[in-house]
Amino acid sequence: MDNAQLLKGVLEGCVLAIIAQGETYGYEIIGALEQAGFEDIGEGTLYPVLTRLDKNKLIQCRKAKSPLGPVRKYYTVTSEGAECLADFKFRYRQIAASAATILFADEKEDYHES
Amino acid sequence: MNLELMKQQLTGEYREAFSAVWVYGTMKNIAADLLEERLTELYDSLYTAQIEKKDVRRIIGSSTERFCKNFYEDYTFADRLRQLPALLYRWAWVVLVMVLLPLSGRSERGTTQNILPILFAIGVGLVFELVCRFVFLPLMCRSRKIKSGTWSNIAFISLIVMFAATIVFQASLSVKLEVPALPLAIGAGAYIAVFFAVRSYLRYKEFGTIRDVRKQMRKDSYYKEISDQQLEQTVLKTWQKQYTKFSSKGKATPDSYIGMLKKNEKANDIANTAIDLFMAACFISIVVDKVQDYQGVADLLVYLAFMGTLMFFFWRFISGAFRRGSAIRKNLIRECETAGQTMPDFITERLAVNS
Repeated sequence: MDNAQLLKGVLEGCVLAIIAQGETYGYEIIGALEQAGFEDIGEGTLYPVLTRLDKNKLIQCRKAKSPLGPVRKYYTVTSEGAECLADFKFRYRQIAASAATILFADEKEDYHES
Repeated sequence: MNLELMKQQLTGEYREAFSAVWVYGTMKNIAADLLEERLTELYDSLYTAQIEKKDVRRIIGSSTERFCKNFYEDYTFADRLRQLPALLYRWAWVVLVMVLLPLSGRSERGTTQNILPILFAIGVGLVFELVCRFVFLPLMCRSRKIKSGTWSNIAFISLIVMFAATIVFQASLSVKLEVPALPLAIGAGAYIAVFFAVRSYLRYKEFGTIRDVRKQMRKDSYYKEISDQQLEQTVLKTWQKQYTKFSSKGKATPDSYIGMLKKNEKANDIANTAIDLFMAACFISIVVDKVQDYQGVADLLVYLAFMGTLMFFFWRFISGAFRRGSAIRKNLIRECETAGQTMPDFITERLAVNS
């Protein structure tokens, strides 16, 4: 199964969660995702996600000069974004628990047998 | 231009990645403002990675093609349609200029206008987009490494060839598509006015002013600084190359080189004055031509105001670039004289400081 398809579903929520921690920018978000273990972020997937979140008014951005000089887009979460994140967390937990029940059922049985 | 300056600030793999994504976006005909917005963000990440000496693959991954596809994946047909009013706005200007100026296709009595050249030009634009999208882009992606420079040159040459072929073909045609000139001009003018009003309203609603805030932000930001510094760097490198060449042929010494540069500047000043005089002569000839074809005061004033504005912006564009370069060169010569150094020493020292 394509990793990108799996990633797409959760990436938006994760990016939203990173931005919710405080004002941040593209390069920093890539770093945070990498640190968390997401490997395929350097494939251009982040930028459309940021645009989508911005279009849906879940985040807002301001442009300012970065310490290195060029203009940088700094992102923050809007109130709608915060609500959406809370909802995403709730739904994700439910889906992850349901999926785990099916996906790791044999591992559980093995564990009980041993 | 801003994107070009961004590219200049990147080196090696970072620059190649930036160019590849840029060429890909251009060939996909992504709207210019959106392309600039996206690439500015990418530039920030690439530039930061370059400064921090992080691998470029951290930003674009292992496949540039996959990156490009993902990077522009949310640019849909609806986004493309949203660009249509702006595209029509540009074409409305072309139509207006063609009708107001006897450029081509005006009937002798001036009451009708042949719009076939405009339709041909639009057709060439569409065909070029299709060729880029369905021929160049797949070929570019299929090659082992995306060579952005080669592909942008191929696309540019193709466009020139297509336009040249169309002009030759159209000149051989005896068919004309005549439409009344006045309604055409009024239609184009009305569209421009409506577009301008709606754009002003939307800008006011979003930014609280009718001015292009994004343009101002770019001006206020880093680009101007990059631009001047970049220009200075380019001038110094050109001088260094020129001095090496001249000195190897025995045409220049460290002491005499500054004199040669001063002489060049005098020649440039003469060229600048010649441009000013040429533009003034053009304007005077237009005025004389129109006065001979006098059709009332209102017609004369509107025509001269239109032509004057058009020529002023053209003059400012041509002359501005010359003057800016000249100011930077003169400033460098002055600084060198004040420092009491020979020009080659000054160039070497300045390049080291700038880098």
